Amino acid sequence: MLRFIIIRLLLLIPVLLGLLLMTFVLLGLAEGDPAAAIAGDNATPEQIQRIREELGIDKPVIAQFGAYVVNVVQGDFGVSAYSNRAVGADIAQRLPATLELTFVSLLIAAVLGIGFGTLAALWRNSVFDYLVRIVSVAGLAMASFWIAIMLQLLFSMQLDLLPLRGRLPSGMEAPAVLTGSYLLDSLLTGRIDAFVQSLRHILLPALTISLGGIATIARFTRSAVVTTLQTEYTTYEEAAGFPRRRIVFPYALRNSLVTPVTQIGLLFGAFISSAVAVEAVFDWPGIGSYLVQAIFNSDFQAVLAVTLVIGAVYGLVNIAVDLAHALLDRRVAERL
Amino acid sequence: MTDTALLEVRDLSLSVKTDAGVARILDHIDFSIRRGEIVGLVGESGCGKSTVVRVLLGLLPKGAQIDSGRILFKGVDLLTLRPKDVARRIRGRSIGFIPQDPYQSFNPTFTVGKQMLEVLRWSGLPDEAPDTRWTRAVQARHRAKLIEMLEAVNIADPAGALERYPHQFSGGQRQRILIATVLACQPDLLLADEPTTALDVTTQMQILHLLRDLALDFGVAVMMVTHDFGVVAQLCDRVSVMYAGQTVETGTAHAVIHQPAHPYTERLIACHPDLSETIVGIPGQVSSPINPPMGCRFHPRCLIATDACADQRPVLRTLEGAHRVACLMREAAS
Repeated sequence: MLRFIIIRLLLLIPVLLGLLLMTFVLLGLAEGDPAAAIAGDNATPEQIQRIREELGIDKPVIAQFGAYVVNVVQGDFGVSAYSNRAVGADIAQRLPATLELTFVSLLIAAVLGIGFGTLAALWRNSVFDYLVRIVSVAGLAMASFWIAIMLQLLFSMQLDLLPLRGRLPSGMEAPAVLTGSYLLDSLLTGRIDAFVQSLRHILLPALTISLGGIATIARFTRSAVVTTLQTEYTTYEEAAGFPRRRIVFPYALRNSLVTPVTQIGLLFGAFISSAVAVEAVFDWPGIGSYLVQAIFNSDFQAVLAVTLVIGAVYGLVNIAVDLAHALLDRRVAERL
Repeated sequence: MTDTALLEVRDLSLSVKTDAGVARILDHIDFSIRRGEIVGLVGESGCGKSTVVRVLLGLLPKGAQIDSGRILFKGVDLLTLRPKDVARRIRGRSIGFIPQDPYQSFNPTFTVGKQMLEVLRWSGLPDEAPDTRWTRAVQARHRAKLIEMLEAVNIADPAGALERYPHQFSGGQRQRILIATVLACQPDLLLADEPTTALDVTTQMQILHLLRDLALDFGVAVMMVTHDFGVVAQLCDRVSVMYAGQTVETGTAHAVIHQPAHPYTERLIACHPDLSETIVGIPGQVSSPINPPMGCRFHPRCLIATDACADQRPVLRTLEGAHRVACLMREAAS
C-alpha cells in the first residue's frame, strides 16, 4: 500500500511537467502579450522590448520553460506581471476558499447522489425513480452559471433566506487561520456564529456546483445497486433469512460504491472548472475568480501557477480515490 | 417418527404473468420428504426445480401467484402463513439453503466470517429463541459454533478462515463453508440447489459425501435439486422427477433408477454414462410454460406417445408401494 502511494506520487511529477509544458506552449501561442499589457497603450516598441527582456520572454520557449521549472521546484512561482505581488502568496491566500467550496460540493454530491441513487434502485420504476431520472438529466443539462443566478434570485432575492455573495457577512471577522477553511477553522476555534454564517454562505454556490455531480453519482449508484441486487449472493442472503434492510446496507451498498467513487474522482476536475464561473457569480474569493482575472490580464505567471496547483490537487484526489477503492474491496487492495 | 412427513407438497400450481402471457411454471407438483431423508428433485434446466426451492423458502418470483395446493411443513401450511412469519420462523431457521454456485454466492467485499455470522444472526442457533438480541456474548457463541463447524467440514485454521475474504478460498472450500454455516443453524430441512454443478468433478463427490454424512449426523432432511441421476444413485433415498413444471414420477431412488416407469425418466437415466451402457440424448427441449403442449407435456418428445397423449393430461397413479407415475401409456399397459 505504501509502495503504491509512493509510486503514484512519483508518477504525478511527469504528469504535472507535461501539464505545465502544454499550458506554457498554449500561452505562447495566445494573442495576448504580457509586455504590451504591462507597458500600457502609449508605450513605444522600445519600452515593450525592454519589459520583454526583464520578463525573460524574449528567449526561446524551451529556455523559458526550463528557467520556470527550476524556479517552481524552489517554490518560486514568480511575480504577477499585473499586481507585482508574489503569485505563490496570492494562491496560498485564495486556494483554501476554492478547496473548501469544492469539497463541500463533493460532499453534497456524494451524500445526495448515493442516497437518491440507492432509493431509486430500491423503488425501481416508481414515481421517485422517474423523478430522479428527469431531475438528473436537467441537472446535467443546465449551465452552472445560469443555475447560480436562478438560485440567487430565488433564495436570496425572493425568499431572502440565504446571503447573496461572499464567504461571511461584511464586517464579520474571519476565524483564525488554521486550515484555511472557514467552516473548519470556526469550529476549531469555537466561533459558532462564524460557522453558521459561513455555512449559510457556502450553501448556494456549493449546491450550484454539485447539481451536475448529484445527477451523475445518482445514475451510477442506481445502476450499480440494481445490478448488485440481482447477483447470486443477494439471492443467497435472502434465502439465508437476511432482512431487506441488511441486504441493502451494508451488503449491497458497499459493492455498489466502486463506480460512484470513481465518478467522485473524475467529478473533482469538473467541479474545479465550474467553480471558475460560480465563484465569479457568487463573488467567492477563491482561485477561480483569480484565474479569470489572470486570463483577462494576460498574467501568465498566475495562469501557470493556478494550472499547476489545480493539476496537483486533481492528481492527489485521484490517488485518494484509488485508496478508497482498496478500502471498499479487498481484491483491489491486493493488487496495489 | 421417521415415517411422518416433514414436508408435504400437494398439488402445487404456480403461474407468473409475463408480457407474453401467463406462464404455468408449476403444474400440480406433488412430493414429500420425511425427517432425516435425502430426496432428489430431478429434471432438466427450466423445468421448475429452482422455483420449487424459492416457493419453499417463501421467496416467490416477481409477479408469481399460487393457483392451488398446499405446502405442509411440520403440519403447518406455509402458504397460509404471513410473509413476515415465514421470514422470521421458517426461512434460514427451519429451512436452510445451499446455493448452486459457491463462487457467486459470497459477497466479495466482506470477510467470510462477517457474512457467516450474519447468517447465524438471522437464523439463530437451534436453542435460541427467534428474537434473541445480537449481543457480544451471542456473537461469541456463534463464532465458536462456526469454528467448530468449519473444523467438521475440514477447513484448515477455522479461526483464521473467518478473517479471510471469499476470493482467498477455492470453490470446493467455499461450498464447504456454506455447508458448515447452514448446518450450524441445524434446520429441519436443507434445500440444496445443484450444490456441486459449479465445481470440478473431483471435488463434486467429496462435497456430496460430506453433505450426506453431515446430514445423517445432524438428522437433517435434504432436498437435493439436481439434473444428474448419478447424484441420485449415490445419495438419495427417494426421488421425484419433474418435467415442464409437472411431477411425472416419484418413488424410492432404487425403484425409479432400476425400473423407471415414465418415458422421460427412462431417457434421463439413459443420458447418464454410469447408469446406462449407451448414452442417448433427449431430442428437443423443455416446452415453454406459456403455451405448453396439450395433454401430456412430454408427448412431443416422447417416443411412445399416441394420439391420446396429446389430448388427455395424465395424473399420478400408484404403481406399487410408493412408486407413482403420471403416464397414460403406463396406465394402458397395467
